[in-house]
Amino acid sequence: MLSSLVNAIQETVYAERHSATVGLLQQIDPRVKLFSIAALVVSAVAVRTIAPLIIVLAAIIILCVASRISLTFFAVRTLIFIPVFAGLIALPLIFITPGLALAGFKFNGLVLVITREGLYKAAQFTLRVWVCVALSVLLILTTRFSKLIGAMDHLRFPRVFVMMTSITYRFIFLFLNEGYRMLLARESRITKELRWRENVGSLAKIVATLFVRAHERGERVYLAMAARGYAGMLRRLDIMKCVMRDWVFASASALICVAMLSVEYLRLGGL
Amino acid sequence: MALQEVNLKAARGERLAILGPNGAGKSTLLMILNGLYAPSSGQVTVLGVPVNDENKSAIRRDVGLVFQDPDDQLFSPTLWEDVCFGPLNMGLPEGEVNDRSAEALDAVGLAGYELKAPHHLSAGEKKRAAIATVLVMHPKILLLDEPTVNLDPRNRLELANLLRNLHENNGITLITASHDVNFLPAVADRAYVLNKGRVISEGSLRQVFSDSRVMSEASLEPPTIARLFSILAEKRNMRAQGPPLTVEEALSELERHLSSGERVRKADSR
Repeated sequence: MLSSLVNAIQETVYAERHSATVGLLQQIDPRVKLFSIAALVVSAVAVRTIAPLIIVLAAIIILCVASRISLTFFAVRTLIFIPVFAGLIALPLIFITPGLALAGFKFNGLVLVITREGLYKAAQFTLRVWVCVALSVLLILTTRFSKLIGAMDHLRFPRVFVMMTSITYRFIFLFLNEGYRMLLARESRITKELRWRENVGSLAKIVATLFVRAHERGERVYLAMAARGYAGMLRRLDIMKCVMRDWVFASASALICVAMLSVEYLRLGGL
Repeated sequence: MALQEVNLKAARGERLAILGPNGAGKSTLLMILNGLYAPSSGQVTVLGVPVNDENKSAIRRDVGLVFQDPDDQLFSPTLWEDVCFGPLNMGLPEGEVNDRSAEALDAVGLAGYELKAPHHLSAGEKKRAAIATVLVMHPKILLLDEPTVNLDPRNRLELANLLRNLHENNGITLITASHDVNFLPAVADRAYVLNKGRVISEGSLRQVFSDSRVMSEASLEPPTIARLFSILAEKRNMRAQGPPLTVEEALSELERHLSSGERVRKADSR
C-alpha cells in the first residue's frame, strides 16, 4: 500500500508526458500561460455567482481538448480532492446560510434546514474551488517544470522563491523515497501489534530523522553548488520569445476574465 | 579535527589515490583542495596558487569536485540546467555555455539526455552526469569522492574507462578518494593512505598494497587479484614480479609463468 502511494505521488508530481505532447497550451510561452492562468484564477476567486464560473469551465474543457488531454483523466485528476476539501467546507453552508427553506429534518434534537441560498452558496464554493484546481492542473500538465521555473524567473518572482520551488521539486521525491525506505525498515522489525501511542511515537522519530537528513542534504547541496562557483546569484539560460499565438492566447484569456467580471457585475445568473 | 599533519603533493597530469577507511578524512581533504573548507593551519597550494578566500573562485574553475552522492550535485529540474550551472557561474557567454555543455554531456555518453530530470536517471547515469557538471568547467584537476559507491559492476567498468579516457585525452590530473581497492588500480598510479586524519603511508599503489602493516592499520585489504597471487606465491611458490593489481597484469603474469613452465618441461623431456 505504501509503495503504491509513493508511486501515485511520483506519477502525479513527475509525469511530464502531457507537457511533451504537441497541443495548444504546450506551445504557448510559459510566461504568458502562467500570467493568463493566474489572471483567470484571480477572476474566479473574485466572483460570487455561478454563471461566470461556467464560462471559465467551458474554456477549460476547450483548452483540454485542444491540448490533447483526455477529459476523463483530467476530471479524475481535478475532482479527486474536491469532495474531501471543498465538500467538507461547503457542507455546513447548506444549513447555516439564511434563506428560503427547501427542506428540514431533525438530527439529535437539532433542527437542520436546507435553504435555497445555502445550496447555491455551497455549489458556488465547490465550483470555484474546482475551477481554480482545474486551471492549476492544466498549467502543470502542459508545462515542463523547468519551463515553469524559467517563466517565474522571467516574470521576476523573488529569486529565493524560484530557487526554493526548483529545489523542492527536485528533492521531494528523494525524501519521499527515503521516508518510504525508513518505514519499510521499521515494518520489517515489528513483530507484534503496536498500540496507537507506540505507532505515533515511532512515526514521529522517522519524521524527525527525515528533517535532520533534509538539513544535512541541504548543506551538501549547497557545498556542491559552491564547488561549481555559486556565490548567491543564479544565472539562467532560458530564451523565451512571444509569438503571435501567445498574444492571441493572452488576449483570449483577458477576454474571458472581462466576460466573467461583466457577468458578475450585471448580476446575471445569480439568485 | 578531521585532518592533522597532512603533507601531500600531486604532480600535473598525475593519477593519485587517497586511500583510507570511512571517516579517515578523505572527503574533508578533497573539499579543502576545492576551497570549500579552509585549513585551520598550514597551506594548500593548487597550480601554484594558494587556496584562500581571495582565490577560491579561480581555484574552483581549475579544480572540479565530484561529490560522493550524485543527488547532492544534481539539483536542477533538468540535466541541461545542471550542466550549464558551472559555466554560467563562471560568467561565460551563452554560446560558449551551450557548446561546453553539449561537449561535456557527449564526453560522458549522455548526449540526448538534456531534458531528462535527474531523478529519472539510473545510478550510473547520475554519476556520469555529476562528472559532466564538473567537466564542463574544463578543470585541470578532477577530484572524485568515493566514485564507485552504489555502482553495479558494469557501471564501475564504464566509469573506469571514462576516467582513463579523460586522463589520456585531456591530461587531467585525477585525484580519487576511495576505499574501493579493486577499482583504484584502474584510475591511479600512486597513493596516499589516510587514517584518522593523518597520512600513514605514500608510494606507488603496488607498494602501498604490498605493505600489510599499513593496510591493516587502515582497515583495508589488498585487491582480490593481489591477494590471490600472494596465496599462489605462498602455496605454489609462484612468485610474481610485483603483485599484479589488474586483470591484465594478472593475465600477463600467468602467461609468463605458463611459458616458463613450458620451457622447463621441454628441457626435462630433452
